[in-house]
Amino acid sequence: MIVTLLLLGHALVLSTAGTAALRRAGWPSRAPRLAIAAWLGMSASIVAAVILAGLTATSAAVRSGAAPGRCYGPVRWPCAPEVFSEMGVLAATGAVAALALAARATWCLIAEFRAAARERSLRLDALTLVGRADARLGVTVVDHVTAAAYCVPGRRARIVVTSGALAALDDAQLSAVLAHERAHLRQRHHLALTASRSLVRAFGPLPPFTTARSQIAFLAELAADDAAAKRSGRLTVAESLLTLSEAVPAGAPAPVLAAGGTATGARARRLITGTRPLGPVRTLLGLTVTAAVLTAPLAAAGPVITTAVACCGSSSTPAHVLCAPGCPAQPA
Amino acid sequence: MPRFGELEAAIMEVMWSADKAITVRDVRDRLGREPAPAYNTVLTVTEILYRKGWLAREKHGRAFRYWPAGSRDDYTAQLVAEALDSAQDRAAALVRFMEKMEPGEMAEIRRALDDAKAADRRPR
Repeated sequence: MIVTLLLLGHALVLSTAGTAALRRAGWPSRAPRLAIAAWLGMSASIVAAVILAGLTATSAAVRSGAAPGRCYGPVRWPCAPEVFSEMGVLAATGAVAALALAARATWCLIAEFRAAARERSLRLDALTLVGRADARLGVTVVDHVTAAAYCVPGRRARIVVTSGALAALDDAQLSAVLAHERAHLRQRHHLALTASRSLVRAFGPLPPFTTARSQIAFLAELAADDAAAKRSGRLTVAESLLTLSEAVPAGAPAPVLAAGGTATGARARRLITGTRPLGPVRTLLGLTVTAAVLTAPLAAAGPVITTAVACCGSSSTPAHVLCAPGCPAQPA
Repeated sequence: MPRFGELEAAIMEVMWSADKAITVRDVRDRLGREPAPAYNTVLTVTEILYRKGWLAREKHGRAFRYWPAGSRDDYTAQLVAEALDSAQDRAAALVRFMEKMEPGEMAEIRRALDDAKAADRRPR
């Protein structure tokens, strides 16, 4: 029971204080890829903790509600508690909640990836028909005055550039833009984004998941900017950002992500000032913390669940063989 | 053997340059390919384009006549609009390289960029 409460507390702390701390932290701008991993790890840890809380509640209820001797030998599930006892209700609630959450998360993950693939395929069909391949640049050009560049990820990945963008950018800026888009594809940012979207789809607009989604979208841009800067120089990347931003028609939506301006503005300022990448020690520390946050719920819940399973779950093995001390299943 | 998508694109090209609704036989003739693709192939691909909503059709006698459901510019505009609309962009999500900035913010960043470039050029 204590473990259940600890797991729920873990989820609650990550959802509130953890989310706020990671959003306010300064280091993600210096290590955007590590920060993407941290956001994904935190989201996964929250979901896992709640699911495991349900399972540990069931385990605890099954054990404490078991009458002496009831768990002995071949048993049917639910082996121990009286169905209508308080413990029986708790056991059933925990199990149903855990299974429902796990099923919903899995279902939405699959649904979101399939929806993304379907939309990409529609987009690629349209591109085949209205776009033209530019073999020299390795991109698909679409005739449109709006300056825009984007990538369609996946197996048939493509980079799309409008004729408006080709007109607005000089050669150096264009190669910076292409390096940015290629980095998106190479680093497979769409997988992280689709995963983060699936959690919002599964559990509604809860702050930890919506924050993760928008932060990952922003961090993916930073990571791609860094890759482009390595190739073309950070000032050229900043310049290409400004050029494309100027060419966007007025009235286009401009979501404000970063404090004091648009996300694009924040990216440009970061490129102009320059960033010092996070050192190897701190990167390793970040990875370790992420891994710890991710595995903590499993480590806490594992012993509780396996003990209960060993006590009561096995119908082929006599339970007393596996019974841990304290399990009320020892025959009198 | 051209890839399927290429034949689709070629058929749409014919449809967009035609000034009236045309039959599959017309499409095959106007493709201008040597050797001309099999009638059944053109029929199949045209029907796929119809089912995907790219073409409209009407029955004339025994054969259908097809015309494009939208102009090429319509489709291009739609494609770009979808790509720029991050809210419903699932396909690429990271598509927008860009969004519009306020003139004030833009001017401030321009100044910072010019300063940085000047500092870069100055001999150390």
